[in-house]
Amino acid sequence: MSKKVRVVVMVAVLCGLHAVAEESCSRDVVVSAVERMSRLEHAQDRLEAMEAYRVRSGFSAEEWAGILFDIATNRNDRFVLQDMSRYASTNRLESLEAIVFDAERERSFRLAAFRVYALVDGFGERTSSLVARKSRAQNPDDQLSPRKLWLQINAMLPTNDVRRMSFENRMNIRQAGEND
Amino acid sequence: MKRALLTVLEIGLLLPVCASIPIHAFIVCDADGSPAVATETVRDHISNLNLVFSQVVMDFELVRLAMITNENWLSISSSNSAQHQALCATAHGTGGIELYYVEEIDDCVAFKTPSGLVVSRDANGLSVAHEVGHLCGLTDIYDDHEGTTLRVTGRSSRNRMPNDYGRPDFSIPHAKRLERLLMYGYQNSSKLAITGGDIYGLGRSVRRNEESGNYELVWDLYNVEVGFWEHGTRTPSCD
Ligand SMILES: [Zn+2]
Repeated sequence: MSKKVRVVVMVAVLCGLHAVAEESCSRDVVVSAVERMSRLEHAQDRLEAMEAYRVRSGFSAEEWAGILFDIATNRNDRFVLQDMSRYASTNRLESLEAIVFDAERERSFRLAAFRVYALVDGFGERTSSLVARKSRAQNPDDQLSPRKLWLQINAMLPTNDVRRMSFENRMNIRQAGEND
Repeated sequence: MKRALLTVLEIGLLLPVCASIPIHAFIVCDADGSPAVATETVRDHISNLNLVFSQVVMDFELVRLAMITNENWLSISSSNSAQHQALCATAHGTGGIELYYVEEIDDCVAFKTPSGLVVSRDANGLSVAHEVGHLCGLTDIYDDHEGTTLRVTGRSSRNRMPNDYGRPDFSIPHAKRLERLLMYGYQNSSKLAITGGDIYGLGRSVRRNEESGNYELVWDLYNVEVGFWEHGTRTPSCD
């Protein structure tokens, strides 16, 4: 290798290393900021802090949802997962569903994943399909029963909410279809 | 001498008003009767509450511990007000504080509603005591918050805690002192202190918007209303 080429390679390697270092450093900064914000006593306060931080750091909603998802799943933090519901798009539904079905994880964390799923889907067709699939695949040893998923829907939506009525209608139609 | 006399006078004034504040606690159970929390948890929270509030000569007594069987209330969504209103309508006008214990709350460990505190299995005695601090009229205090660029820096000093007695250690950073306050806005295991006077810190203060004429909450560095003699009341209320 000529001297010139060697210098170019060296500079390229150093730049690469610098970029890696910078990236991991800023990721650590974001993780510790989220960890601190997640210790705020009041939910509204946490949302205000998080939104201000996200906007200032220039993350899009989609990017922010990804960051919160990673932190939440690494730390088993259901509150951080819950915060993600404000930012996530339907692109996240598959990974949320995987958590709902993951019997190795804590029940409260799986329930939080289900809540976020339902919120992101707007309590739509995919949510009723998820509940139906969970019912069919139910293993008696699984801590998270389909009944718990139903109760979550009840907890999230008042009785007179149109989304709850149409969710129940869809479930009834499904059940009638399966009984035929 | 003057300080001693003041203390004697204060205790004298307090004695007639330090009757116990009744606590009515309700534990939500599922259809099989299995409770959201054990009764010992509730008792433990009340003894923590008594420990913290003994600083301001306040005392709480558990006068009722009842079970509510309703599996729809095991999991509470703080944004579903119809749900927590129904739960908190269980007891009215008890003249004390109503605590409703549930399995989980979606986005926090405990919160106050206009008619009682909702407390989850994840809460500890300090989270309950912090909420009761609010019911007694005290405000949240911070050293920093992402919602603002203002932050508390520098050492503690007399004029940052003008109405507190004693000789506190002024060599510590003031932000460290805030972390020990019950009304500190972040959860930690060291927040116990209730001060007599307000303390300098970051808080939300009420300001009049010159353009709209409306009053709004803005972040500010000032003597935040955490002082029990200045802003506390011995008759906690949910409103
Ligand atoms: Zn607070």
